[in-house]
Amino acid sequence: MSFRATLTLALLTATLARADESAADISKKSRERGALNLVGLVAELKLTTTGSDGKAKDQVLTTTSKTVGGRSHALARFSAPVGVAGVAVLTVEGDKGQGDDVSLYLPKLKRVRKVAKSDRGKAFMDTDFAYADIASNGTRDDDLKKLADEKVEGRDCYVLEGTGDESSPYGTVRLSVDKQTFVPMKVEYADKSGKPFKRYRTLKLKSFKDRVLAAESVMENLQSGSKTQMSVLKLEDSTLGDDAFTEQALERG
Amino acid sequence: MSVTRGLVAAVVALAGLTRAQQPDPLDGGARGLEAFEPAPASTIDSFESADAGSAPAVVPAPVVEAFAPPVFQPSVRVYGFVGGASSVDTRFDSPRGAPMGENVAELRVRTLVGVDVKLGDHLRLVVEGRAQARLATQRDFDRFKGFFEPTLGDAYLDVYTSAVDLRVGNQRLALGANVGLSAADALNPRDLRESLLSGEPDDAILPVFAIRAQGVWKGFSWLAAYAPFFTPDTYTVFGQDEALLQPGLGPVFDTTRIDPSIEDHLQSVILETKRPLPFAGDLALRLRREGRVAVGASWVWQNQKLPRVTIDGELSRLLSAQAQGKPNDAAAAVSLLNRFQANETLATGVYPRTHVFSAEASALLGPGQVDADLSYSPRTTYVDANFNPLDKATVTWVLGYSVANDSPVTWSVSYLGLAVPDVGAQQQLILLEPATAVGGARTAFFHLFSGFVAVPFADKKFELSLRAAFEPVQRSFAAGPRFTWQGVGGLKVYAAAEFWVGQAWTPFGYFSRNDKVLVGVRYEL
Repeated sequence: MSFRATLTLALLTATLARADESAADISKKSRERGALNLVGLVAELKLTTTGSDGKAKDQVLTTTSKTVGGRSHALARFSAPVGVAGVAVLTVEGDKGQGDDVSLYLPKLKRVRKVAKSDRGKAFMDTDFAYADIASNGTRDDDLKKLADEKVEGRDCYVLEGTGDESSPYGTVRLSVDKQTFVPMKVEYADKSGKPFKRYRTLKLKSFKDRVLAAESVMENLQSGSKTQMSVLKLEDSTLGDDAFTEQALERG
Repeated sequence: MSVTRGLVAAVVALAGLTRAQQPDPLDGGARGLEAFEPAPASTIDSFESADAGSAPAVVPAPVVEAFAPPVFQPSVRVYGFVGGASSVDTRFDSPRGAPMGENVAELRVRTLVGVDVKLGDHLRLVVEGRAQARLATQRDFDRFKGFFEPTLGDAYLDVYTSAVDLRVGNQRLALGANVGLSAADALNPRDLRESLLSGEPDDAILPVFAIRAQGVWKGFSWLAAYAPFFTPDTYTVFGQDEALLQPGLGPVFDTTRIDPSIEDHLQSVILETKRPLPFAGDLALRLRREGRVAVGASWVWQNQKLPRVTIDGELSRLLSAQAQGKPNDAAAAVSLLNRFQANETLATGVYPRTHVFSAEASALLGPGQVDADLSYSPRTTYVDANFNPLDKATVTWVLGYSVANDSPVTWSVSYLGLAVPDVGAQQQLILLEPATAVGGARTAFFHLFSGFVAVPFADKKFELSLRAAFEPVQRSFAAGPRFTWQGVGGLKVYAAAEFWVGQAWTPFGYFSRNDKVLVGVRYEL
């Protein structure tokens, strides 16, 4: 077989494989490209939240994620500002129909506290991201359906749509996932009554080794007028084991 | 008395339970997008309409750039605070020159600077230095005194492995589900000089040198800790607002014979005659299963942190008469003074060992978290009406419910109960029981309710808060309202008050000469 024929076959095989990607597969891959949920990488992020009055505030945190026991575990540690420095958040993907399990480590108390399930749609540390956005995209992978593909900012994207479960703050969620990189380019969230609620957009893509990630993104709250821009300041491979994604390890700092 | 002090101190810890959950107002510094003008909620019909008439200000770049390659460097975080408060009593009860007269004005300054160095994923070093200065004066600037006290705060080395996390050094150890209130939370000594209502609860927990290992095993998290060197609570026996002996006992202790310049230096050793041997320190084991309802059990083998004081019979009778409001026996007082000057030992103070067996549970319930602790100790030292020590078995239970959501209002409520069986017919657990409890052998009960609420307003620039505790049997209570301005990142300026209400020998009424107003400032680095 000639080189040309081999290449053609390889490309064809790849295309067929892509065609077989289920909505759940796409969702899972895209979830691992969001900066708040980087599997196998540790990112230092800056979150700049700008209120409807134009006032902005910065937070700096490191974040990483790992699949432990088949569930996504996301870890975030804040280093600035002083009021939240040392606070750590562990988000463990919940069972189907259940919300994620969120634990906060509070350095002053030397204690881990849980976040109420009823409250997981609320702001994550005063930003426009919700606790529910950390380990998931607001829906269950199995509940997503694939819609017609579309272009978002010039990039070919899969389009998925699903509904939020009881613990989710969202009614419907519509994801546009870049076909080439699986980075979520745009996510539109409606509230439980169907009104547009929030919109996530990837503003800048960057590569790190063999992966492409959202280096800059923004979550806009369409109802309150506030927005949080997320910038990846630093990125490196994670060497953390499963033991780092436990409540007990939250105090590690 | 010692137990009551501990309980009241614990109220403070509880009152601050949830404060740390609310991030302080965040620093400014814009990095905003340009010209994003989302439509008001009422006009939002579709996602597109939010952008109608204008292109997105920032266009996502399809071009894929590369991240800079990572360069290893240790992460260093410097943190700390500096704060102070000045207070004035609302009543000037003690006249000038009165024995053990009360302080009417006070200035406290406290600071902490720490550095947290993370050397990769497996090694971390934390070192803190703390210092506090305190000035106090009685009426008409009588007995003006003060001290400066630098100390080592947290100072430990952490080693993290897949099997165990090891921490060696000065540290604070958290045991039990209810912060500060659980009887299991006993390894760290407390600074009982901290203001019970207006101080910061975490400032009152003193680090202790310890070796601690913890890990996860078959779904259980475990902890083992050993604090080899005994460190007692820090307290004042007399001469300060929160002292163990309050001004009401003044005629028995003529402190005017002690110069103010040395008064504070006596406090830490005046009650003790023997300390535990080195390495005969505290041990703790804890096992906990996380889940929808987290449950755990712990065992602590510890030296009590306040001394068990046995006093001379003559001194005991004098104190008891004073407590009952009887006339002062001048002859007995002179006799005691003569014996004291002859170097007779009028009191012995030791720190007995005791076990504390505990069970704990935590679970989310609605918008809050429920925390429960149940503890049994075969030996806890109380004080009877004659100021003699009583060693009794004790069952302690604590039920706490505190905010677990992002509500702007922070709150917590707690109930603490004590049961002390086999109290003799003529014994009275002073402060915990009323005098009317005497008369029959019984199990003594003590109940305490406490709570904290903080309400921010004006875009979180201001906060109104209240810490309060109520003891229902003798109907005494304490309340500390506070008004805080926190309009600049890291800076808090506040005005507060403390009220202690109840009969003279009730848990909170005992401190009733200390009603005060204060202003303070705290800046977090």
